[in-house]
Amino acid sequence: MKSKKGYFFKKKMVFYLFVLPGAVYMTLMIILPICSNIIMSFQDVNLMNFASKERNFVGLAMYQDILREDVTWVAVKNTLWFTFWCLVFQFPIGFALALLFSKEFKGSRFLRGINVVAWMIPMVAVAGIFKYMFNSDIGIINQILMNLHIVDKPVEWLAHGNTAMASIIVANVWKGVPFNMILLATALTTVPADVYESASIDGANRLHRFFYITIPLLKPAIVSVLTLGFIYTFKVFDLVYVITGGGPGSSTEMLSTLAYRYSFNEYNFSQGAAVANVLFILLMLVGLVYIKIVTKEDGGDR
Amino acid sequence: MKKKRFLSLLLAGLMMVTLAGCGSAASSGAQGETPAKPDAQGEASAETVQGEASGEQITIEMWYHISPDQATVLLGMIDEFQNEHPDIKVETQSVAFAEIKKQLSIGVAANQLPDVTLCDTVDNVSFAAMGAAVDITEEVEDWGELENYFEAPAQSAYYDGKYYGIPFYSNCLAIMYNKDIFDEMGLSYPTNDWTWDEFRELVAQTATDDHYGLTMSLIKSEEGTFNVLPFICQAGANWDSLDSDGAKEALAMINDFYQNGYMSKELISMTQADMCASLFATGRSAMMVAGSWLTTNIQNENPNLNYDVVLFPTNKDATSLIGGGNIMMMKDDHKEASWELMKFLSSKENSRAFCEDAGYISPREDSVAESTLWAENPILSVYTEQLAIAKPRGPHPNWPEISSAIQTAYQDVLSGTATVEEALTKAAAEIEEIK
Repeated sequence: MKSKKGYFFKKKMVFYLFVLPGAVYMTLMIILPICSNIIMSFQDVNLMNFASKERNFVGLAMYQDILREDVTWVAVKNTLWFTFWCLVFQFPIGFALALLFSKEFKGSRFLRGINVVAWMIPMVAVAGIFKYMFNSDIGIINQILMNLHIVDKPVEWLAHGNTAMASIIVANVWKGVPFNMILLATALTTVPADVYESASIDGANRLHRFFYITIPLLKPAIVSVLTLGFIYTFKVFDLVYVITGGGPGSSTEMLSTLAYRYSFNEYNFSQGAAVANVLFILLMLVGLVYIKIVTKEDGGDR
Repeated sequence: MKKKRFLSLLLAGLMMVTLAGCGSAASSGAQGETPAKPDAQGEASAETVQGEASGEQITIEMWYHISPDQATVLLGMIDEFQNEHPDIKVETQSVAFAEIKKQLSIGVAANQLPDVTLCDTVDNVSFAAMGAAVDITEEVEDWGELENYFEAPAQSAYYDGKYYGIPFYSNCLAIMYNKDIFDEMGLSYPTNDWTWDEFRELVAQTATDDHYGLTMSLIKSEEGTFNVLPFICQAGANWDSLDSDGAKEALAMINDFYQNGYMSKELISMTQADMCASLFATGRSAMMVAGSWLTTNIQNENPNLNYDVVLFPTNKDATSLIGGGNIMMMKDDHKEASWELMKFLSSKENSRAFCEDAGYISPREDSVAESTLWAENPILSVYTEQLAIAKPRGPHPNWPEISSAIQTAYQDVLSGTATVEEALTKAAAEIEEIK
């Protein structure tokens, strides 16, 4: 009896040891910075007192400050707008490609591999390339559109608010599609073929099979792809910073670029922290919804 | 069982590696270190000095944000300094131009600052107000050399009655023009006494299907402010009077150029280096608002470009705004050694040698007076003349915020989100709050 208890204890210790590196890493690199960010947003840390390390507690004043600024609301709106359209395009395209490449045809694996390359290119490089492609004087996108007679004079993509937003959405979708595709393609391989087989014997056509078998069986994967996609898109920074810098005006200003601008351009560190926390809170809400959905499903299975 | 044991050992080993990796990552992150390595040249020479040195040696660290080409002369001077002062070792670190402000702020937070650093002139008073730059008023007054400096650069290091830096190099903007385009079109070159009306006319005339009339950076960053604000000043306004008629006249003129297609629409997201390389150096723009340092870019891009430079056109006056770099002391641990280095780099001879090589103008009037380069070189002599009538940018500790308001104003106007009137009224109100 005693030895058994010892055995369990030992086993537990081993588990904890396994968790330890991750826990230490998370604490140092994620939890501590988030905590200090939250603390900073309740203080007034700015240009004048930054070096003296004197910190005065101001409660919610920073949040009141940023919520009074129009630009914060513009950034919230832009971030949501950007995220919405990115997901609307990248998810269906990624899903379609996943379905396509799940069919075994000549070169399907190769083509799938090629697609993933887009996902592996660093964001800054993608942004730099797209900035050139959207250039109104020398960009290839205008050349193609003009040769196809879709437009008759160059479109100044990055010079107007709406087109600049469209440009960064296109760039982000290009980068996001492979991510959706890979996760969904992997999930598709877990759907057993005999389910389809028996369904066809029962007289289900393609559409039936897709909506009544593929979608329900992929639901957990779809939920995680959409949530992760939302999170990745919502916290976009480098892409916008490189292509438009938040401009023209504030038309592509995101919460992340605004937080960066407040902190490192204008030295309003607490304002920057407050904006970053708004971003954090919004993302946490999404995360909570995700956890809720996932645990509910697990519960249903049992 | 044996297998299991081996596995757990292996995992434990892996864990250690992960932990070690994470530890070092955390510490380097906290130090706010730049990805750039200490300069090889600086280090090599430092070693030789260390060999000769007897007794205690002080090590001071210096950051700089100028390009590697420009840094060659600076690093040579630092070697020379170390030879003269065998007890002082100088470690240099290169930081990207766009990064240095951020790196210094992180350094302030983490208490990881260099002893001495170069910074953009416009940021000197911000770091002073922050309490990060060391007050060197006493040293500067003992030194007594500041009276040999041009006024605008000297002001950029002065905050609240004290000195927090020494100007190291200066520059300002003027107008470069492509002589070939003017020749082809049978137009005579602009002269230093040209007016805004002539300027407007030339920009419109030289804008054709083959090339734009004018190029200037309208990007949403300090570079854009640096390009737009001179016109506002020429019209008799400044950053603190943006709702005046002068400011409106200036922004309306720029907006006309932009909307009429006399300027590329891409300028709204182009840095000065970008626009120089893709528009002016390739002959796709007749004129460009440009600083003297861009001559190096033109040389690299298209050495055959036939161009010259002329003062800004006159409205109320033909002023420009100064730019450049200052040296600041960020720590007083080795105040004496750091000050020695600052003095050494700022001497009449060294200021001249560095600025001549890097394509800048010395902020020291006496260096400029001695040099033949700035008097005789057809390009630099114009910039020297322009610098003499240039105004300081600010100086204001909250300059980044002020600049941000200006950037939003011109970007809103150019992208059609707001009229000139609306944008400037809003910016003026914001700046009033910051003041």
